[in-house]
Formats: sequence, C-alpha cells, structure tokens
Amino acid sequence: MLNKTIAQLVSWGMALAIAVLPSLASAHAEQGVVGGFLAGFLHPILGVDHMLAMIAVGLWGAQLKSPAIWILPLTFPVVMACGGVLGIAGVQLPFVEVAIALSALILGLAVASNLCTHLWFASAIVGLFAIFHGHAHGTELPGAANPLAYGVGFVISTGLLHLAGIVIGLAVHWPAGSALIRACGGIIALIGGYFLALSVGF
Amino acid sequence: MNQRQAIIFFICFTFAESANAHLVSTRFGEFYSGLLHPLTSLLHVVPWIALGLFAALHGKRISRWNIVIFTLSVAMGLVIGWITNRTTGQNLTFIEWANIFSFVVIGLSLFVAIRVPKFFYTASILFGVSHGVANGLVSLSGFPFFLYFFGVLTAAWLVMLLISAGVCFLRERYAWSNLASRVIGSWILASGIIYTGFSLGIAQ
Repeated sequence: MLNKTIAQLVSWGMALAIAVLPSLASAHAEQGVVGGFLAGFLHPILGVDHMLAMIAVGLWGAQLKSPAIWILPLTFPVVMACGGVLGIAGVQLPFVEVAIALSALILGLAVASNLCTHLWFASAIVGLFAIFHGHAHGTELPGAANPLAYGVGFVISTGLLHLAGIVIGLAVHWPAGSALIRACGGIIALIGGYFLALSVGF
Repeated sequence: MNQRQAIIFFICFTFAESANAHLVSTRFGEFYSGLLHPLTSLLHVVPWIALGLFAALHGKRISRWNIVIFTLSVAMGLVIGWITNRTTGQNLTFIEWANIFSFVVIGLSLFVAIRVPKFFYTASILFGVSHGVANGLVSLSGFPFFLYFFGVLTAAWLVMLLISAGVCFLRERYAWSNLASRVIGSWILASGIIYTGFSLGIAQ
C-alpha cells in the first residue's frame, strides 16, 4: 500500500517536473521598446558603484528625515537627466568614473557617520554626483535599441533604488536599525573606496 | 498515475488549441490597432499617464471634466491628422516636437505640483490635439478610419479614467499619494529632458 502511494507520488512529481521545467525559449530578443527599456533599467543595477550610490541617497534621506527623505530622491532624477543630456551631447566631463566611485564613498560616509546637515548642502552634494551618474548613463543612450525606452528605464531603475534605500532606511526608527543603517553606510563607503582606488589606477 | 497516463497527460498538456479569442483578423482589427497604437508607444502613453496624475492633483471635479475634454481634444487631433495625411500625405515634424514637449511640460507641472486649472485645461487641450494628430497621421491603406478612430479614443478615455480615478481614490485615503505623484512627475520630467536632448542631437 505504502509502495503504491510512493510510486504514485513519484509519477505525479515527474509529470509536474516535466510541466514546470521547460527549456529556455529565448523568445524575447532584446530589441525595440522592451530591449531599450531593459538595457536602461539594468544599467544602474548592474553597475555596483551606481547602485550603491543610489541606495546611499535613499538611506541618507531617511536619516535626515522629512523633507530630505523625499526632496533628495525627487531632485536626483531631474539633475541626473541634465547630466544625461551632457553625455548624449558628447560633452566631456573630467573624471566621470572617479566622481561616481567618490559618490559611493562620500554618500556611504555620510550615512555611516549619520551626517546631519542643511538640506541645501545635502541637495548640492547629491545633485553634483547626479550629474556624473547621468553623464555615464547618457553616453550609453544613443546606442540603445530605443533611446526613449532606455531613458525611461534608467530613470525608473534609479528611482526604485532610491526607494529601496528609503525603505531600508526606515529602520532608523529603532536603535538597532539605526546602527544597522550606519553599518550599511560603512560597507557602501568601503566598496566606494575600492572602486575609487580602481578608477585612479591602483 | 501510471507511466502511460503520465505520457498522455504530457502530450495533452503540450498540444494547446488555438483560442481564436481576438478579433484582429476580422473587421474589428483596426479598432485594436487604434487602441494599441498610443498604448504601445512610450511617447504617447507616458505623457497621458502624467496628465491623468496631473488632473488628479486638481481634484475630482477637474479630473471628471478632463476625461471628456482630453478625449474630445484627441478626437479633434485625430481628424486633423487623418485629413492632413490624406490631403498632403506628409508627416508633421512639429507635432512630434509638441509631443516631446508635452513630456517635459506635464512632467515639470507634476513635479512642482502647480494647481492652476486654466493652465491645466489649456495643456490638456493642446496636448490632446497634438497627440491626436500624431495618432491620426497613419496610413490605413483602405481600412475604415472610424474603427481606428474609436480605438484611439477608447485608449485616451481609458488611460485618463483609470489613472485619474485611481489617484483620486488614493489621495482621499493616503497622504503619501500626493508625494508619490510628484516623484513620478520627477521621473517623467527626467525622461522627457533626456529624450529632448537626444532628439535635439538627432535633429542636428
């Protein structure tokens, strides 16, 4: 009786495994609107230095509390877009990679030290780095499958990374959470330092 | 389940019949063509979503009026575009610029959360017409225009209705929804700035 039940279970399991494990279809070529959107969406996420700096903006905003918690993520995409236009136009900015690595380092340090500063100063720092991040995305844009979709993709991706930082940063309301956020800032600063060392040739 | 039953189950599972659920192959194909034309183009659907959000920022009464005004503006634009296409056979470049401009203007208005009804109605009418013209400049090669026309209108009506109603509903219940609208406005503005820069580069 038990053997029969086990045999039935194995049969069902095999049938289910065949049904749910299809081979990769490769049906979606990365082209057109979807291709452009995916390329733009993944650009800030696959670049670790970009991603960490974006999350650090959200974390710092959460530490600074209202109105910084929403002004920083609100300002960043718009200033970043201006940097993106410079990149599209072929305007060369000096030390773009260094500035992006430096953004992760400085924003990470700001989070790690729980730096409480004036809103205008925080906005200026974030805005300055946003130009370099936008420039890096913008230089990739003309080669994208669909430039508009690429732009929409990287802006949404950046915004969602900020949101991720803010959501994690909400833990500042608890003492242990606050310490954890500062530790996250320290890790971001360390990785930013590593990228900075790489970008200056160490 | 024995082995034979498993094989039969697997064969049945992999041989699905065609559903024939869509009327694209019939006369109604042009309706769907019109419905999908603006919805599958980011250059149209994103400013429309932004306008729906912007309407909701002005409250329920203006949002209700906007659904009618925007849909009628799109209708007017569609007729202008269709007539232009039939008489001159040319695309209007400045209409594309107007639509790119709508990205930036509506995104910026949403970002700074300005509440000026006259400005809002003007933007809704102007951009409704410009988007309508852009959708009307299509070659339907003998297919009935009126089905395509009602397809586009349905898309415009649906986007305005769903976005405005959804955001008005959220605004009444959650304080953060205004802020969320402004964040989305900043994203739309950023996308608009980038695309404007790119289009200017192409134009040069």
